[in-house]
Amino acid sequence: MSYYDIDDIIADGQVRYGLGYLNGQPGEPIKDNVKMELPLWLAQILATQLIDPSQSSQEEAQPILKLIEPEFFSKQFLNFIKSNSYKTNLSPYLFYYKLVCKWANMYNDTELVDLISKMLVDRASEINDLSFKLNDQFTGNNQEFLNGLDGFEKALFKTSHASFKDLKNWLRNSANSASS
Amino acid sequence: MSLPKQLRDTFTPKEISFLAEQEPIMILPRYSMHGTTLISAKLPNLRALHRESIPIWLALILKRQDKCNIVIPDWLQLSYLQQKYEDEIQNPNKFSKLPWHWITISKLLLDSAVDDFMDPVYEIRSLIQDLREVRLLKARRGLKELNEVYLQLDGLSLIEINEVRPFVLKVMNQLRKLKESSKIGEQEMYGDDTEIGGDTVMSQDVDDDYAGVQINDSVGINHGSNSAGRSGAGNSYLNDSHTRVQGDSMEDDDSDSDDDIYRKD
Repeated sequence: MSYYDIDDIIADGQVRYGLGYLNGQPGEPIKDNVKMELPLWLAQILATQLIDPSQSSQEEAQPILKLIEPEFFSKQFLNFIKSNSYKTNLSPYLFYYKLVCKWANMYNDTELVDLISKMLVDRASEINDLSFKLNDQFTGNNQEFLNGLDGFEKALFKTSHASFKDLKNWLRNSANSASS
Repeated sequence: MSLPKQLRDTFTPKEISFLAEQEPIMILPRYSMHGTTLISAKLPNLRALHRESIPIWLALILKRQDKCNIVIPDWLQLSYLQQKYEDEIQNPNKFSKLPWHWITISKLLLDSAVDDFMDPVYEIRSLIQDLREVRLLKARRGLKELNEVYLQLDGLSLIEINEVRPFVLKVMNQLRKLKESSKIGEQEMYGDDTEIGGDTVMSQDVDDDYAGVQINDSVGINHGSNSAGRSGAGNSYLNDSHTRVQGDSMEDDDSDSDDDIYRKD
């Protein structure tokens, strides 16, 4: 993905995956099957390193870590998305779409990507509709949806609203700028 | 660039108004005067009460100096607009053919050349409003069909395209990234004979990620996006306006272009 993208780096650092197989404290002997949380960039690297079979007692090469899927990729969550993409609350995960990219990259999960793409298009068209109001206050029934947007969607909302607002203001300022 | 980010993505409406003013329009001069050669236009010799075609910006200046009357173009007549409105309502899936700059030109003329209209002005204003609302609704409905590769909205004017452009570009970019991420995985998979499966871990170097992106770069990203708006300066308003927005924006995140430089090593 983009190495120098700041959002990417932050996204990497944020999400914790539950993991097994390795206790991260230095100096202590390695125990098996312990769950811990690691940030994504660390987890990704460790998960792709194999333990040399000759040194350990296992018969074949095994990765140091096994990644357990975080809760927002669990079957339950995905089913919830399938049924109602507007109601899912993505705001606790600031970088949901970036995380989907990284996860799908690691696991080649095209199904997940298709589902999330569809969700994105649905939510995006809803965002576009809602951003049409002229004033800067948004209240009412849609507050719940607006509160449940993740970082990318909030930026989307702002740009869409700004472009609509620009156009409306220009159309309104008829008499003043007529002579320009 | 020193412009704030939102100005980099699209035109401002004032810029579009500037572009629209290049269009030619008919005027009826009130006096005779000699023409001059200006930098981008030529003012022909004007004879009183003989029609001439000059760019709108020039016409507006002359109008302000009370030296001419503007002839309202054919498409800004009540009957024509009403016909277009009927068309819009009857074809919910297509946009009716309106001139490329219809909103801008109508606004310019309604502001400064009110006395030159033959039909009642308030009716024309309300018709233009209605037209705009209907087309906006249709455009929104069309946006629901977004995919990451291409979007086809034939017949929109430059301003209407400009309205949706930042939004559409962002969404399409994100969709593209999503699709690419799973595709990269597939490519590496076939290259290294690793297991396929939902919970298998790739046993490769992390560097291979970047190699995968490089392959996709040459296929996916073409920075020659042909959004017609950018080349619209010289178009007469009777041209077709097919609008295709390709999947990659002319504005990519800055960091992405940095990637390209570093990856090519």
